[in-house]
Amino acid sequence: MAPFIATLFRVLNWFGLSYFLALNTIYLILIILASFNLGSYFRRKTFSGFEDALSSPATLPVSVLMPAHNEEAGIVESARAVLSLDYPQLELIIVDDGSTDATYDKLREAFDLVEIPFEMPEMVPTLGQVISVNIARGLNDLTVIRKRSVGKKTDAVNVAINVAKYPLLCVVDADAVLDADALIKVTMPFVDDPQRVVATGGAIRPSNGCTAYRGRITEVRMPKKWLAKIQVIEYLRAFLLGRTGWSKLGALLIISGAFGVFRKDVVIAIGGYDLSSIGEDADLVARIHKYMRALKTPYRVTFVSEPVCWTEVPENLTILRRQRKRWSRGLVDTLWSNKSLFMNPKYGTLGLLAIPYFLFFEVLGPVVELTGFLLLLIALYFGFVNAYFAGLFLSVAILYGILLSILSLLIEEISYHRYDKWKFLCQAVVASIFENFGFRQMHAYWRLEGVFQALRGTNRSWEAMPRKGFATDQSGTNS
Amino acid sequence: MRLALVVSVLLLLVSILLMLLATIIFRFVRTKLEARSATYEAELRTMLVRFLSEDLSLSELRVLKKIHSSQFDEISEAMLTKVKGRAKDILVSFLYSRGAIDQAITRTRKFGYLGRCKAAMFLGNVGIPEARVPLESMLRDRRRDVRTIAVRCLGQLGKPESVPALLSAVDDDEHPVPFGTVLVALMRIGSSGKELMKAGLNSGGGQRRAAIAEILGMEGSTEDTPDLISLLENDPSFEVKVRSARALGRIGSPKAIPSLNKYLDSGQPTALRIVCCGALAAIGDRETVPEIISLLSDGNDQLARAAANAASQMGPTGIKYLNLAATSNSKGASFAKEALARLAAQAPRISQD
Repeated sequence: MAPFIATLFRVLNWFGLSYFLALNTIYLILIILASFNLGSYFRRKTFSGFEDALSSPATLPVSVLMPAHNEEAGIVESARAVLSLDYPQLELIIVDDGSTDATYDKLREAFDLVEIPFEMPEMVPTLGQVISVNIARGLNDLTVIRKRSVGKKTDAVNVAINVAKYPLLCVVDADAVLDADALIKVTMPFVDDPQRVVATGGAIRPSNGCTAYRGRITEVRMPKKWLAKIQVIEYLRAFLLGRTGWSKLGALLIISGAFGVFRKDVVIAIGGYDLSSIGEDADLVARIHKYMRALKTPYRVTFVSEPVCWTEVPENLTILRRQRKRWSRGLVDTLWSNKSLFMNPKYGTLGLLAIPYFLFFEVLGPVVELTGFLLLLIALYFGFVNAYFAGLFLSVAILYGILLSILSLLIEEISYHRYDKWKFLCQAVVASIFENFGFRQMHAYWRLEGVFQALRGTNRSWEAMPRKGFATDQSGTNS
Repeated sequence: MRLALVVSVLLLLVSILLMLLATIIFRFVRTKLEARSATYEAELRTMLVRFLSEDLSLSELRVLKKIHSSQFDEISEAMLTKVKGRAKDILVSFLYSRGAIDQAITRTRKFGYLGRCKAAMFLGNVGIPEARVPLESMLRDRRRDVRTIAVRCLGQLGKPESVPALLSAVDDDEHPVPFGTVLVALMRIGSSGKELMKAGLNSGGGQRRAAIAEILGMEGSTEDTPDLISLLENDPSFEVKVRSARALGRIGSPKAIPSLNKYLDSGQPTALRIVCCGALAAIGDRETVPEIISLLSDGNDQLARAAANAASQMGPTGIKYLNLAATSNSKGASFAKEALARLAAQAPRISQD
């Protein structure tokens, strides 16, 4: 019996090691692909023609949809920031989804809202009853809708889709701070290739620690708390470079719910956001892929790495844990709802690469990662594996992880160079190292919790994160 | 196992250290270069401005510029977009004397696409007539980026002779260019290219005619109304019809009313009916108000809403009809009420204080 158990442990440990090797190598490939893409983007940036797009009659007008739930801290600033974006024609639709704070009152006061009678179209399904539709006096491009909450962000977005009048929809979180040129940059693919582009996503970066004035980031700084600093690295590696890599492969599955642009006709054709979905952003993109493939029309879902949407990331473990559990539940939900994509050659790299990756490395990853470490400790204790194997295992799991984070930092340094002080660079390097000792394992545990919650089918409501908001003053120095 | 461990750990550690080192070196070099170029740039730009304002002679400049000639060339090229008139003439003749323009024309045929892009940009910024032919030949370049820049630069050049080439580029499926970029280029060429544009109406594909319709609408000349009416009524392309209707609204000639009215009929596609409705509102003839108001009871809510909004823009007559519709029991009453409420909200507020 003992030799059998020893062999079993060795096999499992080798499996764990191979798993980490495969996971990190996939990330390395994605980062390398992203670096090629970024290189090409930067070479072409001088000739990109953003100015032309601002004056072109062919630049499609955009309806910016902003679902808000208890966002009194920053809703007025966010609305002002969106309305002053560099874009030829846009409207902003804010959906106050059953806020119990002063979200609506602040908007009413700031924009002098007046209620109008409105026959609500039902282009996409909604659940919550609309209480009122309000427009700003003297301002043609702001609509504020008050509705009863059914606990789903997707319902709020669908209501906004029904009201939107322009052919492009941009979904933005209420706490998001967009760079002034973010919208024109994220819609550039629609200008360049209007026949094929159906959805684009922009980069998300943590805003904690940054200085803001009138809804714009004026100085980029590293967050003060280490938990947030680690998330800066994580967002850089996973969201910026990871998504750029998937986009390069033509297999982008996730466009962040915080900042994405979609063709309205396509969103309506697929019935808008799925009201039962938790991972609404990935689910929408997956259904867009399915719809476009069914039409047999050439199309593109693309990620644009430069336009930045700044968002506050959790600075304490409780909120971070809740957020990551929700993301994990959302991913399981999306993969299950779109299981027909799995290993389906009809969907190209999305079906054959991206979906299996998300299943094996994002959903099942936490199981393998945590049990891998546990089995290693047991095997080491009972002498089933030697210290050299343990060293090899840890080097592949941890050192390789550090290498990827530092590589991401290097690419950031060469390309965007957002954190321009030496102090921030040093902090980023330290965060890249510490991320792999504790945070990553803790994160795996939270993801595992999320997977179990998804399997049990619990907790499907949207959870707004408590925000600090951006305080502003006349000097514009507060953050 | 021991060897594998040593090799992997060493490999990973060395890679990490190399990445770190590269990051630090890159940051250090960037900081130094930025500081250096900021110092030089200020000095060189002052020198160039003095030269352009004829405060510094070419011979004096030649002596000075030897120090940092490559930076000076870059600044000169960047300055092209910022100066006009006499200063631009001086700058262009200076670049001629440096051989920069001939080099750029040669570079338009080089292998590297970035070089071709830069050359096209440079020629567009210089704005000399000789740039037109090489730029037009770049419209058939194998790289989309190069073609797009060539379109943009032809627009900057503003020569009406480029119109046929630009219109052909819109239709070229083998060498596609962004439609919007061509529109901007044609807009920049403006009325001087209008006759050549109108000549293009009888040939080529739908994209070409759609672009022409859009530009004619922007030009806003009533003499183009018959051409646009003809496009609206006879063109097989839906996009051309939509753009022609919108253009007719922009021009605002009452001659277009019968044609636009015709396309309000329920047998027409909704998108076209909505555009025609908006165009009629833009023309603003009160005789058309009843026709528009009748759309409030259309089965399509989008059209009904568009009709109500259109009527609200048509002055007292539109408002009168909307009030009537709002008080009726018809299906369109809610849209009329909404349009009236929107109109009231847009009216300037009179202070009560």
